[in-house]
Amino acid sequence: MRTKRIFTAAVAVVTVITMAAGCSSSNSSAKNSSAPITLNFATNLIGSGASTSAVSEQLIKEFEAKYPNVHIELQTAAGTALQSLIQLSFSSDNVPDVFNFWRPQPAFNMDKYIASGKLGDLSSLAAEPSVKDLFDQSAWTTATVDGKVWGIPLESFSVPFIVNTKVFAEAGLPLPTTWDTLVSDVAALKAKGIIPWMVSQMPAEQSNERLLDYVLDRELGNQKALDLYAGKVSFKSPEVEKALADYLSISVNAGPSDASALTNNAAIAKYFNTGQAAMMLTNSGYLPAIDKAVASDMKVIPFPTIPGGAQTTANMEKDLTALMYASAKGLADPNKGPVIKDFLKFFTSHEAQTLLANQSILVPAIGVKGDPASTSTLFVDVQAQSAAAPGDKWLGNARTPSQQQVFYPLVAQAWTGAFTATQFADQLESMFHK
Amino acid sequence: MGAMKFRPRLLFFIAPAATLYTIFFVYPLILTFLRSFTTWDGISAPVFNGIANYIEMFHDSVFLTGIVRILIWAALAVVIKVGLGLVFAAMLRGRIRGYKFFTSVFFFPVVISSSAMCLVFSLMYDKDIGIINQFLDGIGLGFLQQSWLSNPNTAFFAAIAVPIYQDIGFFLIIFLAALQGIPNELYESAWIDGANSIQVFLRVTLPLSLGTLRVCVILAVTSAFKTFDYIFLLTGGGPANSSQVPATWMYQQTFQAFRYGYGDAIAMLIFVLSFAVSGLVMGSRSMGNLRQRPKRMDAEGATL
Repeated sequence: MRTKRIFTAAVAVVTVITMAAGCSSSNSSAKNSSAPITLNFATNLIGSGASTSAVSEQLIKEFEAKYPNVHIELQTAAGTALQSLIQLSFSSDNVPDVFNFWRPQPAFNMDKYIASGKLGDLSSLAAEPSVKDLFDQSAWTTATVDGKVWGIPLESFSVPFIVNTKVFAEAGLPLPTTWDTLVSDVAALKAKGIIPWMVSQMPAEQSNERLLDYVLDRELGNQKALDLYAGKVSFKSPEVEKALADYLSISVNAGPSDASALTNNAAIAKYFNTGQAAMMLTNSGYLPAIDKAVASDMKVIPFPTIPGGAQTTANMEKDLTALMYASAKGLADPNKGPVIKDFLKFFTSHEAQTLLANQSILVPAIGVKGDPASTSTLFVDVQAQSAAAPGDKWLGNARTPSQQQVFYPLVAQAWTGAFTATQFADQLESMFHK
Repeated sequence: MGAMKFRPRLLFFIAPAATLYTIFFVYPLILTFLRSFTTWDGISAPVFNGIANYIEMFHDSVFLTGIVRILIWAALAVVIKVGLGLVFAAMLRGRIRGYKFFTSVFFFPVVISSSAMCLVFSLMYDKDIGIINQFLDGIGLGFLQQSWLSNPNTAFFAAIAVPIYQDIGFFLIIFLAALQGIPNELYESAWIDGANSIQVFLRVTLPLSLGTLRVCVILAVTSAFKTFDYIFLLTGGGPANSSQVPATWMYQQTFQAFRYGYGDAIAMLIFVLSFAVSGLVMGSRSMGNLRQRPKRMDAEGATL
């Protein structure tokens, strides 16, 4: 009797426990769907000097309002400092849940990040019609490595050739629409005390090589220029030395004397917006730094072809420049993974792309153009030219991060007239040719 | 009073500090040393490459000119920071009128962060609005105006002028404390014997502050060898590597070029250099001789 009572009690206890476990697990599922989730977002889109700051903060606020249980924890880094932050995060196995970064190419160490297995494969997200149809095939091709999509397109870039028409008019000089005119204009501008080129020589800005890129592309063609930096072609050939000589003829002492102490934004504010510099050839991401009050004086024109050069069309350097990525660990998390995908979709949506375009940022989304009332005629013209011009790949794609550290200071030296064309070719040969 | 007897339980009291020292200094040092013999991008596994990194270092023109720069910096740091710190301390030792005001004024830059100082000086050095160029123009030396941080000939010296200026107050305070310990009677004796200010400085102040001087020289030199923030913030090592020093080059190679093994090798060399200089100064026979009592010195140390 006593045994029977004990047995009955035990069965009752086990039953209660089982029911409680079942209830609590279903309760915890419900709780998990509204359980607080923190997404770590590493970005250079937010911060002082970032033209995308306001839009990015707005998008984050909207997302958090839409998902009240989600908090976006920001890790910000300015400009190219994001490269060091992401490198460290991969090294320490602490990859942010989401981050924006450059193209998935070796120039940005992305081949190593992909090989580490810590970067999330976004192929399934990219296959969703609402995401896939937003961007054209060229953007997806850039985002794809070894058949997998690693990032969702966010921003494009081009390198427009922008001239201050007011400066040229006041100097009595024609716009540099041909190579010969460009060469004579540079000399004439210098003689009149006007700085021909707005340029930053800070290595971290990675922008003082744009003019060299264009001259090499025009003289040799984009692929051969890429092969130069890939070490497949020698810099010591007559045609390359001629190209370097042509480059030096329009660049030596043609930038601000304090260019190495100025960021791009600071150089634009100090020299281009004030009419002290006549021309600008830099990443379109710096267009927002051009004062709207003087933007009407600016005009985008094709960089001239060079007589005898391999390139006979006015190609433009352009590509995707920023994509949104996710960590493999975050994507695999059953609670975080769906939220990460939703955040990526939200941050690269048509509406988000429109907001960016209204800030004069080139975006890869099909059919998205900035509101001319918010941007400027200049940006509208840059957009149009970027869309129409045949594209050249950025020559830095062929350079490794290690080579960049020596390359940018070398180009900065070339701007000061430190080298003849032959000496410059020697320096580049020792750096790149294998 | 006899020597303190070693008791094993004393280890219990030094264990926390020893543990922290081991974790945050000894372990990273050993790891850095081992990794300096590898090629490593920070992501994939390190690959042993023998002494290739060290061989490359001694063929790296940017690194070698950086070594020359830090030696120049160290020399200037000793002469200006330590020298001026000692001279000002000797002047203020006598508690002249406004002694506290001057001490505060000299020490004030020390409490400002390096980044704030760099921001202030980058504005002062500006080619167009900088106060330095405006001052030069104002005193008729407009021809000396330059873009101080953009000119390869001036960028390095303009950058190191900031920490050298900033740290004078730090060494002033150290020397002031050391000089307070020199008995006034020695100075009075010297004055009575007819010594002038320079003789008093050379024969009383300097010999009796040599211990402190030795420490300050080591601090100044090792600071010059390893300082990173001023160069990084003011010039980034530019223009065109003309202000590059081993610490900033190590940073660029490690965190921007993703060559961790090579960066580790540079870090090891900075450590060895600093260690060697410290050992040289501490074990210096000439400095030791200076510390010995000269034959003509009284019981309290003043030279007769």
